[in-house]
Amino acid sequence: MREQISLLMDGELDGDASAQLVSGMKEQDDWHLYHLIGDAMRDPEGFRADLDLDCSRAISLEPTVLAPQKSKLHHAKLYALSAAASFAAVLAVGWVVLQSPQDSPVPKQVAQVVRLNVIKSKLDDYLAAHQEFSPESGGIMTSNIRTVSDTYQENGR
Amino acid sequence: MRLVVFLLLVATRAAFAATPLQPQDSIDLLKKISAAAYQVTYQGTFIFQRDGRIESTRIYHLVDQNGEHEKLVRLDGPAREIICDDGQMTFYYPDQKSMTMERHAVARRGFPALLPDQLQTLSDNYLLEDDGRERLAGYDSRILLLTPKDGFRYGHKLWIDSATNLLLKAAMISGENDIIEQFAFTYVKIGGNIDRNLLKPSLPVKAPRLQSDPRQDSFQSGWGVENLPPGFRKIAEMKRMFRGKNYPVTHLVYSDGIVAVSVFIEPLTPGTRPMQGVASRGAVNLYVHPADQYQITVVGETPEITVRQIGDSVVHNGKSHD
Repeated sequence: MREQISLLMDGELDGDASAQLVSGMKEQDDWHLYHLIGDAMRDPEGFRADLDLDCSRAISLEPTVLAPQKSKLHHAKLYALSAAASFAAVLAVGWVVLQSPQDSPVPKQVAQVVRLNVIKSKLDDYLAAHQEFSPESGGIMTSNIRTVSDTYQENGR
Repeated sequence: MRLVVFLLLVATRAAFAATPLQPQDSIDLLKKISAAAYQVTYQGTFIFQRDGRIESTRIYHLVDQNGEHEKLVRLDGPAREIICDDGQMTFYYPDQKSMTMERHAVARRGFPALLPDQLQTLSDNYLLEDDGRERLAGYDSRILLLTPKDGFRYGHKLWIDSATNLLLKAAMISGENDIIEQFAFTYVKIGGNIDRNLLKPSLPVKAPRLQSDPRQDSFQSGWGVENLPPGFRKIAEMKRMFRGKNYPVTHLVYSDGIVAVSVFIEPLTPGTRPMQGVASRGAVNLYVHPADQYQITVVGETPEITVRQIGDSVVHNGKSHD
């Protein structure tokens, strides 16, 4: 599966295989996780979230794969391909968001994008409710400072 | 000669070292800071720094016989204003069709009322010191230093205007001297009069209200925290509604006299994946995890260990739900 994802990122997977991989990821909830990671990476200054504590434990349990060093030329080519694939992926996501759901060939993806935003604003509601009771630094000053700042960050992306 | 050098060293050290304060004096000062925040008329520009970014905001704060009138204007990013009239908040966000946050009244509680025995716990948990004087935004300020005695809280450094007790700068400190969040006036004019036109909205669009934030105070939920970090006491308990949720969320608030930690408890919605993890924004840490049939969310201006310990020991009528 990981190999397949790598191939997909390098743009070396054909249409049918890609579709199969994506639906497989969706079944195992990996799709959601990858979107969450992507969301966090695209928004480094926003909410720093590590929404799966088990993640690092899982990584530490992963076997270390020892592979021969790739030649520099090959590496550079791979990198260029990956960059092109990532750019294409960004374009695809942008395109999906711009399409209205009924026109989109992948409506499920639209639903995913929305769901992640909901999670973020959900957390903001808890922060806002908490800030009423945030007493430090003279109370009112800090609570309003954070209010202005929080709402700005949400749109700053 | 050696003696002279030694004496000089001692003298210099004494001149720079912070002087311990009596707990009662620190509490009196904290209360004065809190009162000044809503009793003093001032206008100025302050910066707010966290997570490696700085934002500037203009503030007008007028106090008259009708109460408080405040306007905050964002100077960076999309133009936005918040107007606060006697506790009623209105958001002017022309770049947004709807508001993501809505609060009807700002709780001007200032510091939570400290119970008599919390006077003692404040000095049990923080080293309270007078850290000298410094000139800030053109005003003479005295510095109050609160250094935590354990890992459950951050340190605080407060610069207070000597004449009015208005807070001119505040920093939250982690570990030795790592500033995690701070605000500071770069320009401020304390006192005088403020032209009322400056307190009117200058942006045309008022964000439509999404939903009010009704809540039921003084409510006994049966929920509690078994393993509270030292010095924390429950200061509020309520049921509240969140937008997009058709069930009430139990909200408990705990405080050590300086910072607050909120605990939200709600039933898990069938069919949705429960959230689990930690998140932070500046000095605020958030911990969310499912426990039995419930989703527990803990938010506070404390280190991560504090929100996790509280979140992991939430009990209902003395019974654990893990």
